Amino acid sequence: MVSNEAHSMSDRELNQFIDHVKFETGINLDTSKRYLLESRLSPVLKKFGLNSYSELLKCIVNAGSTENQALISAITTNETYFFRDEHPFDLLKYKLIPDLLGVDQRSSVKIASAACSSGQEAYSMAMVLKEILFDLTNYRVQINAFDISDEIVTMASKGEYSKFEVQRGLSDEKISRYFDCIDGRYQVKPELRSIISFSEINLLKPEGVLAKFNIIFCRNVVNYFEDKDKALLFDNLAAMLLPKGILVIGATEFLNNQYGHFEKKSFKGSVYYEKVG
Amino acid sequence: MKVLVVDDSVAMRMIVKKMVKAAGFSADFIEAADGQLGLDKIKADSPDLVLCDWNMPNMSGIELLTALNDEGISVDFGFVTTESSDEMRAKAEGLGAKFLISKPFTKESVFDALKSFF
Repeated sequence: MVSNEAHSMSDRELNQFIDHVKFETGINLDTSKRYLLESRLSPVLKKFGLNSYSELLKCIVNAGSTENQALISAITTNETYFFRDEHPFDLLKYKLIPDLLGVDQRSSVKIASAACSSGQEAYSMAMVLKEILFDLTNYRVQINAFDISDEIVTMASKGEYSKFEVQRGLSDEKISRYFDCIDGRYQVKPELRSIISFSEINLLKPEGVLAKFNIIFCRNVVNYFEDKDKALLFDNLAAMLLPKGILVIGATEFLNNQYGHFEKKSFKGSVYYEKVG
Repeated sequence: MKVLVVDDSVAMRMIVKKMVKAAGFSADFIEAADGQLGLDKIKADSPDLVLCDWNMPNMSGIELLTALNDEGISVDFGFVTTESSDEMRAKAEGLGAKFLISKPFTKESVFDALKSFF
């Protein structure tokens, strides 16, 4: 039984969690984020039957422990929903995909959803491709979705959502077109899932990324990092892009272009960045 | 050279326009979102060439081509479409279509289909 007392985090524990999260994820929290840490880690205590944050701190010393994975998931899971912010998907539909497939429709198109969280961004991308191309099996289009949390990646790869989740961002018509409803859960149809692969990648150490991408969406991620890590993040993203590849970041985020990798462009009010050279 | 692109998908109209340019042709483009609007544009703007999708709401590509024949309007007309069965090709050809470019197209397939019109 976990008491309410267990959910109060001491200053020492708070600082230990901040250091640990920074080490594991690169995400830079400070002491003003006490509420965020408590609200996200309290369910982790409950899940593992732990009585205090100090017990959790002992468990996460082992980086490979399930408790540590759960902590990373809890901290890195961002609120997301289908077609979040809408404009980036219009950019994809009316500019980026036409630019790539208007030249040769047999060319390979590789898109990344970086920090994909629960997968809605990647599946929204697949829906855009389906709307434009009609039969995805005729094309060489592929979406790779990454997240730092293997727990999230496993969940996202199933493509299963609650009614509440699918209703956030999708019309009834899109829900019936792109999902199979099984026992009250909504699963993305196999044709869309077949063009997406999910993998666990830390964007600050993306050793496992072998492919180069035409387009990377990395939205609502940058602001979690401190400046030196932002520069590293954009350096890594540039390395993951093909020449002239496109980077899309969140509308409220700024690009750290310290290494001069990118040229700013815009299309109908949407800003995006093209890799130079 | 004035080219009318008829397709209910805005994105696909953009792709078709880029496809023509990528194949090395230059043209002034006009657009329509279905067969009926395409028919109106053909009457109003007299394009030199029509690149038309097959399946569209209101009036399909084949219905548009039939309407052009019925009204005695002559224009170079071809399909750019996902579907490309022998039956469809025969039907299109029988109604006077000059070509059928099937998606996914390549720069070469577009060049071959369009070179005699530019």
